[in-house]
Amino acid sequence: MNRGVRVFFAVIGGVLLIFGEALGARVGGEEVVEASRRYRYYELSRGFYESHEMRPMGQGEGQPKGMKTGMYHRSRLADAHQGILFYAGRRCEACHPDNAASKHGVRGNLTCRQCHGSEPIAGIAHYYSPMNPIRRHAYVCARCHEGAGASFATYRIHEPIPGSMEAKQSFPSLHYTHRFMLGLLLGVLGLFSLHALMLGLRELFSIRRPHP
Amino acid sequence: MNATQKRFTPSDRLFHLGLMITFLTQAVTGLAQLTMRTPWGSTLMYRMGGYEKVVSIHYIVGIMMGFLFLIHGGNSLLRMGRSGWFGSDSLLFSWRDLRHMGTNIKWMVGMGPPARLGRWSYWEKFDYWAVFWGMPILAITGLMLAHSVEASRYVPGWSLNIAGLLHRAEALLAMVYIFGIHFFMGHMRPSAFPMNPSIFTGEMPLSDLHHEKPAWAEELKNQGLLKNGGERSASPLFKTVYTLTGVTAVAIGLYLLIHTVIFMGRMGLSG
Ligand code: HEC
Ligand code: HEC
Ligand code: HEC
Repeated sequence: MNRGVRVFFAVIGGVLLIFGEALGARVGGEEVVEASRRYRYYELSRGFYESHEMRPMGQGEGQPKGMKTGMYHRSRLADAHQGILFYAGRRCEACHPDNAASKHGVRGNLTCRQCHGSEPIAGIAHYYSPMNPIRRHAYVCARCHEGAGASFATYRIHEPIPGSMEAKQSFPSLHYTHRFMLGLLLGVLGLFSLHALMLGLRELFSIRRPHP
Repeated sequence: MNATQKRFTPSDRLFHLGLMITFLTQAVTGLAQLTMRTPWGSTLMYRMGGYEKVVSIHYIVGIMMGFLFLIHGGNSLLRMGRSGWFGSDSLLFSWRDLRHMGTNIKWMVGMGPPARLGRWSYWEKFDYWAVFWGMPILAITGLMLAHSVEASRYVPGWSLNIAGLLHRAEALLAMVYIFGIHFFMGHMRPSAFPMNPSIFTGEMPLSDLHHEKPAWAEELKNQGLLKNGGERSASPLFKTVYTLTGVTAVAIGLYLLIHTVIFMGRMGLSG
């Protein structure tokens, strides 16, 4: 064997060793996870309390005393539309026009209820809501996306408009990616369309010999 | 115009043809997805057999494009290994390109002579690299979105939002660039109108060579390689075929460009 062939096999062998190991762990690993890991398939806590991990009024054990601020936020209600007048009989888009623009709605042709469920529609952060980030992956996404994990559920269904100030607040990485791409687009197109235009004009005026 | 200079190898021409076909397919199927809630987009979608079909065409052709890219990359590496990385045949940017651009800009406003371009002009190099970097971005983000659950095991789910934005923005940029600027340079500008066929025939008429790429002509003369192209001009059949191909591609491209610009006027980079 010449040297090139040996190097080739060494590299391929190394790659196989590394990825074979990772693959094996992934394929075989599921059988051996302990019960506490398996729980994470359905419910997940990041290990510290966030606002959506608080049980509704009075039901929380170990919930800080006097923690009532923000409790009457619609996002924490079991019925997000509780007490809203003229709710019945109207279409969701009538009151939530921005939410209708999601890719799932526009491209996937899903209805709101395929994710948000039937009445009552729970607030996103209600402790028992299927939409609660603790369990959204298992109770909502995984119904259609087989194998969806907690990471998958952090995908923003109702993506804010990337260029908006709202996105800057709630999804900065999206906002700055947008800025970068917009800058790139304007820069490249600006420079080269000007260049093309001037070149075209110059060629026109210098009356070059026409193409045969 | 019988004397010609060989400019593109058969594999270059094949890659370009393959890229033309896959790019146009991706442009049509992608734009149909972006505009599917407009009358134009929904008609287009319907004509192509519906959303699901269009998505799977987009996926399959995308994979083909990826393979084309990989093969091209391997092929180029081999060729570069043989002929050297830098030097006047190379597509890599060098300071000379910047100087050429400066000279040409001066020439355009009427100050001094045009740049003496070599084998690849600076804008041809930019065309090449723009596509070269665009393809992996589109391929990676496209694969992420198509296999979103699998992707979310390696990256957080919210990066799929970003992947979607990158895929869309890069594609819009590529479409406007290719259909607007690349087509203008290859077909519309006075010295190329109605079409510069060298990417199809692989040959460049000597008269054009001296005019457009004087530095390259000089170099070829020094190496004794000038006029190494075919002496015959292309057969009428071949001429008809490539003219039709080129003109069709430009027509489709300009049509799509109009709708891309309308879309971007309405939505910007968000979809
Ligand atoms: C009469 C107008 C109206 C209609 C119709 C309506 N909503 Fe609402 N919805 C509201 C208001 C007001 C809120 C509370 C403010 C907010 O969070 O936007 C709300 C809140 C919500 C929330 C909770 C938001 C959170 O922060 O947790 C969800 C989910 C929701 N609506 C989904 C729907 C769906 C799905 C439909 C259609 C079946 C629908 N809504 C129809 C007015 C409406
Ligand atoms: C694919 C599943 C899905 C579909 C379909 C869907 N939603 Fe949602 N919705 C979510 C998730 C997940 C959230 C949590 C926050 C987020 O991702 O933005 C949410 C949040 C909301 C909120 C709370 C605040 C916000 O905007 O983030 C409202 C209101 C809402 N949805 C309304 C609707 C309406 C109206 C429709 C139908 C046009 C709809 N949703 C369709 C998954 C969905
Ligand atoms: C009722 C079924 C359904 C549910 C529930 C659902 N999805 Fe989807 N999802 C779809 C369909 C259908 C598509 C394909 C749409 C398309 O082709 O663009 C999709 C596509 C996606 C994509 C790829 C997006 C893209 O740009 O191509 C992501 C990411 C995604 N879903 C995330 C989620 C998350 C996160 C949830 C849970 C909050 C969820 N989905 C819940 C049906 C669903």
